[in-house]
Amino acid sequence: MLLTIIIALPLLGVLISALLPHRAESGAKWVALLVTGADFVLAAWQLVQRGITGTTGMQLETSLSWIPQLSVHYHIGVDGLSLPLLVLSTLLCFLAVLASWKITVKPRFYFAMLCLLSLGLNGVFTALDLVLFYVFWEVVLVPMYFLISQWGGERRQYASIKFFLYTFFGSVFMLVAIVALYLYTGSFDLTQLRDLIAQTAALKGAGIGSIQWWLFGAFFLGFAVKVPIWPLHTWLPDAHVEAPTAGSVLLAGIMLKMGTYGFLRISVPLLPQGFSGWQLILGILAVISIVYGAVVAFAQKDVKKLVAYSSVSHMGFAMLGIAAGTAEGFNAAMAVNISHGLCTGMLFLLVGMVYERTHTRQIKDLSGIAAQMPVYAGIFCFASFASMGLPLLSGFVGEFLTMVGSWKSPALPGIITVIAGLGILCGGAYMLWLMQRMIFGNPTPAVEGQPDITLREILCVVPLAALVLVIGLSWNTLLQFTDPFAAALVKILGA
Amino acid sequence: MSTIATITTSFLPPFNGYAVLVAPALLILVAFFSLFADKLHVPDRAAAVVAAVVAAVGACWMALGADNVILFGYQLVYTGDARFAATAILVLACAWFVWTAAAGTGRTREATALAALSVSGAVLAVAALDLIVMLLALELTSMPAYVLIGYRRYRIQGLEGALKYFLLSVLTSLFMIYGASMLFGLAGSTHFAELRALTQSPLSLLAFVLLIIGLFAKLSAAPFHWWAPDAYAGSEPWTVSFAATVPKFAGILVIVRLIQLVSTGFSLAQSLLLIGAVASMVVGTFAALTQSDTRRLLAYSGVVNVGYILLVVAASAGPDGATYSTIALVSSVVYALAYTAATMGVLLVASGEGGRLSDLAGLSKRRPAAAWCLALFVLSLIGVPPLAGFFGKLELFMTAWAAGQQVFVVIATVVTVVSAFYYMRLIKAAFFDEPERQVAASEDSAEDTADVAPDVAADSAAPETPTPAPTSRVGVGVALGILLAVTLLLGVLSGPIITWLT
Repeated sequence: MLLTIIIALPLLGVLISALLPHRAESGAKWVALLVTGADFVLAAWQLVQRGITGTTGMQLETSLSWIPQLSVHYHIGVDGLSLPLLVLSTLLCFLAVLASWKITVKPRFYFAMLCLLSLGLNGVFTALDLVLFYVFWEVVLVPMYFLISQWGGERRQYASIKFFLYTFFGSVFMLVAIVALYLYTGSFDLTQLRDLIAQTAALKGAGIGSIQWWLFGAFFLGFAVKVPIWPLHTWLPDAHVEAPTAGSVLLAGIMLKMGTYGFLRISVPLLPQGFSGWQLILGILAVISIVYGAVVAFAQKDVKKLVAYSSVSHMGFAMLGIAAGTAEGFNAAMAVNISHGLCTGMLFLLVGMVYERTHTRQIKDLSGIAAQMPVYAGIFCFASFASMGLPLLSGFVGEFLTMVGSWKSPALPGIITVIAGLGILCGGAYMLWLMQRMIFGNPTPAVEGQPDITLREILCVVPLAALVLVIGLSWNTLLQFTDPFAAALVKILGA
Repeated sequence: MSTIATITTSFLPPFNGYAVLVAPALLILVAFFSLFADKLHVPDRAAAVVAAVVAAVGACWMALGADNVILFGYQLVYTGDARFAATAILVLACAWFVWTAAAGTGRTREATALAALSVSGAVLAVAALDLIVMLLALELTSMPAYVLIGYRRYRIQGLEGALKYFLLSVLTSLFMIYGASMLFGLAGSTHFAELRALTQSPLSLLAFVLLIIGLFAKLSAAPFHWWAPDAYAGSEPWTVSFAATVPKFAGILVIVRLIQLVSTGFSLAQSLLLIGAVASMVVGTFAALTQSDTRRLLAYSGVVNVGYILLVVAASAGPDGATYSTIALVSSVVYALAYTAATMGVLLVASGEGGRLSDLAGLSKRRPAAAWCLALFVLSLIGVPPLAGFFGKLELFMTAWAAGQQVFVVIATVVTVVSAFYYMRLIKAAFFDEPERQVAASEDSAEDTADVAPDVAADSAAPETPTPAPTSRVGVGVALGILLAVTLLLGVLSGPIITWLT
């Protein structure tokens, strides 16, 4: 019931802000703030409660029959994999509303879309029925399309249609795989499918070319586009650069995690034998993403694009963790998910703030921020360090565990881990170079005379910074949720 | 009192059954009323108002009426699927009549009469289980549509389109009748149940090929689709929105029923249907990509969508087709409704603007609510959940996959992705493009006068109604609201709907 409220509250926000009278259109942001704030409080409360009591396994389940003839259910629930992501999603939606406070163009439409996005995200991370999952998965697409295309930058039309088509392309193949799974097993239920698949004779047989391998491939297309894994990443820089700040924050902070979540929730546990045939391919693609993202990030002149490519690199670590197939690897993937959501969310918020002031994102036009906006510069450096994966900050948890996990993995050759390690080095280098060029040096005319970060803006980034510190200092705050799930996954793979 | 009760009960059983026909009968009356509305000195749009009310009543009547009505010795059978289809057709018709009553321009009463006749034919066609009844009902459905396409007789393009539509349709009707007569010769009966005993032979196959050609043309499935873009583009979005939906809905049900009841196990018939399906999907998709006219775009999208449906029609024509007959019927009816409701919605939104994509520019500023309706209709056509089109497609693809057509499902999936590209152009036009001129609606009237055929221009056809009644925004809202409700609820309420259908 509580989860249903968390999913349905944003719907209320959509309806109220869309139907506000024209005179009261500035009230839309308050509606959105209230709704997303309430959502975050409810989700965070659940997380804290689970953290204290230490309960594991599927919680807060609700199952109602939806289309009985096709055995489609409204089945939702959360576990150690999804609850942290649900909290992250509600938090980032709340902060996205806060960061969009100055939106004056069509505010009702804008905040209705933000609420709809929040609904879709909450739904994706709680759905336990494949059809329901797919419904929410696609619901996310529509508001993001409108956010980019209505409030985006100059090339917004190109970027938004590219984003829509790329992700739609991936997801229809996922739908084909869902249909195929249903026709083999007669169920869409994620909690039952694992056993049903294990019992189905037609789905037995491991390795490349088996039915499981093909089904994994179809899911792979759906999830890999979202992550995104090289070479399916090309929509991401365009979408990020053209999206408004809130759009970038949600895109990088949480929508990319839908992809890795899909692997961990659906592909790997349901199709373990298919996964074994894909491990090496996933590992190689992941390490290419890591290195490619990092190298291309070096060359960027636009700071938003740099952060976008760094996302490709960082999400590569999550994918490498998954490809490893070890407990450390799965924990790493989940830790990278959360940590990258926090760090990149922060970075995009900060870039958005400086863009609002200077109307430029060119790194060369932005040097000398430290002299002009010292508080901002400090927070930016903190976010960059977190993104680099400095020890005691959250980024380190994921990167360290990825290294351990992929080194220990029997399926991946050691060289992959070595190359990924070089990727970490690159990650440090381009972020440091960015800081040197953007934060330090002599102020440019664009930066000259700009006011420092305001209280509202500090409020946007402080929760994220605090979580980065907490997770970095005490890994267990996060791993206590993810570890039981990772252990269960390893057990499935071993069986 | 008790005598009346006895009389009623003794009278009821037969009456109860034939009562299903009240809906089509009333619609024929409406058609007559509309034709003679001149003599009654009522406003022009009164006919459409009456028709809308009758269609709404008819829809309720059909939905709530008795189940499993068998009439005229199994020639018309209203079971769950036929009643659902008839209800759906009446709901679509109701939306169209409401829009006509609210915003129709020029003379609308004859259009109302034609549409009412067509709807009454469609309501009969979906229940027909006899070749002759089926052919007659299908003709009654499509003949008024030819006239509707050429409704503005002073527009050359419209006449050209109507003529193309008419000639091809008549020709293919002859094909169908020829095929049907062969089937009768082989089986000695026109009833589907007795035709089922037919075995595969050269003559029976020829008969099927002829019937399939005829139905392909009626449904604008490739390679018999080329009349549709010209016919639609020559006409107004308003008349297209009827001609492209109601007759097609009836045609879809007829082809599903005919193929599944008659040709089970005809492997060649199955191959033909699959070829038609793939050809429709591929040809329609690539042709739609470059269109700059809403009507043409939707004509090609219609070709693609019929292709999807032909996949499950083919599934039920296979050697073990009987296994899939129920689910094939269910999924194609659900998809047909999802597709026609969204198409009619897009065209009705376009009716207020103009037929070209560029006419939609700036719609989100002029009519934000209509723009949002358009967006939802388009997303349903793309197949984005939780809208009707998604659930329709899900059921279609599931049926086809289960019937062993995995390769074709993958083709359909790719086609769906590509289709998103051209459908999104409608959203792009409505939300992002700036209008080239201040008043886009004037363009359509300019087009009207430019295209006037010289010999009919003097006929004073155009300025027949000098002062058109003002558009009722509430009426337009109700019409779009009906279609929107179908688009939003059809998928979410799949459970009860499938129960009803089976």
